[in-house]
Amino acid sequence: MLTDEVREEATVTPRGFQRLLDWLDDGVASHGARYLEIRRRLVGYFDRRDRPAADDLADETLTRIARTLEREEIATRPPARYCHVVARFVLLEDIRRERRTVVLDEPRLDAVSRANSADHRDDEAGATHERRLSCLDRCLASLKPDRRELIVEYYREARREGIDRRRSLAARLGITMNALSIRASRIREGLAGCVEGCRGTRTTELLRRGPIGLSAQRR
Amino acid sequence: MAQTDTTDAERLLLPYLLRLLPDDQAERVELATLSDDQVAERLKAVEHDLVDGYIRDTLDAVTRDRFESYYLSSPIRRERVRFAAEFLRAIDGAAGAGQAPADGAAVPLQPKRGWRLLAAAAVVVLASGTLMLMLTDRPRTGEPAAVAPPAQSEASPPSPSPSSIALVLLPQTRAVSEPPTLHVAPGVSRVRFELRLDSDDYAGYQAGLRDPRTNATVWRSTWMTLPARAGGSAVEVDVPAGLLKPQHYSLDVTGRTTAGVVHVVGSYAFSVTPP
Repeated sequence: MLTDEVREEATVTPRGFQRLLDWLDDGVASHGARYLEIRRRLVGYFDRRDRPAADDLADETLTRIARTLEREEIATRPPARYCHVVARFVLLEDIRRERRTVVLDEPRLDAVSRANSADHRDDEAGATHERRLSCLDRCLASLKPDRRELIVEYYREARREGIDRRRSLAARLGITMNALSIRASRIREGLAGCVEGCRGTRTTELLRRGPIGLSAQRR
Repeated sequence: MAQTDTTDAERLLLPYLLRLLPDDQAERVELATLSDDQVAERLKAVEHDLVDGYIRDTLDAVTRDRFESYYLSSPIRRERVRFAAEFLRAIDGAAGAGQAPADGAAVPLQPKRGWRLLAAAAVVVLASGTLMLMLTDRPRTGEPAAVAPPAQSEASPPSPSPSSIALVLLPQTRAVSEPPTLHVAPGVSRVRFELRLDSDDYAGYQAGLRDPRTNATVWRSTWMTLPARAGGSAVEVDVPAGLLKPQHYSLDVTGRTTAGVVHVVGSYAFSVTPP
């Protein structure tokens, strides 16, 4: 739902994208991981604000920052804090845009409705589901044994003795419950990334194109 | 971010995820989740626990209602729930390996349901050893088989009728290469399937018999609630035996939340051998 005016702005050179990656890394080379993480956080931010195009808005935010970095240094640290500032502007603009176009913008509702139907069709077909299960198995099997054991132990059916089991797992590993939950959660997120990679989806493509590809897509 | 701010933000993560915070508090948490790695990591962990709680049905009623009315309203978040359901199933499968029977393993039906199974004629364990099939009250010679019309469906699990057989299928763990095999003897009109579930998260369930060659659903039950039973949840359906040809099939179970959101719960593959 972004306007043509915005589309014109939404271009970043490869140099700008590289500067964005370096800036987000903030001195610690992450080989794109930091970019993906910040982008994920931004998508979550816009999604929790009920923005239907959360992915686009996250890209829009990063594109603006990359364009700024092409022109000048950004002194704000940590970089994610600056991302938040820009994201708020992008959010407000999107809300204003929606208010202006809400009457004429019924296709958006149709799109949501179509997406829901599509969800349902996917469920019905089950093919995607099966593919993901297969990828999940493969990714789970590819984990190092100690990591695999940790998440199986942490996330398995916990109705009866879940808390005690987690507590004893944390004690065995010599870490706090809080640290254990974060460690398990990280492995799980890594697994989700592995499944996406296995299905040939998002992660690789996002890093390959950066926010630049988005502008090409919109045109 | 100062330690006190971080702790404060962490305390608010769950209400933040359910969008229950006033704007000023939400904004503080938002800033923390974007710019503070520690809080961002905690947010992920809290969100995982929340979604898992929904899937495992351990949320209290108020949280569950909010989860369904707000959290599930976004396609991105629905996708997370979908992945979590698959993830937990894989985890439970891995955790259960070596403890529970393998996929499709023989699970005797329980006499408490009044199925006169033990008094019935035969118990056949097929060559694969993965399925126990029990024949109940088979007709004596010459009695015609009552084959139900293809479109028939059940509003609730019916009582087993004469000329029926029953079998139990466990959730698919994908560790078994060959699906359980079913032999439908002449005279059998219905096959009752008891499809064991990992959890009972949904308000309604439906089972569909799918022909994997064409991917068409050739029979579908009506939506039903789970019958109260000991020893775990299961969807029970009677499939007209006349529909079953010698080939592979899949029984796909779909769950529907109280908000009307529909998800695939699981698929139960089996094959039918020639009579």
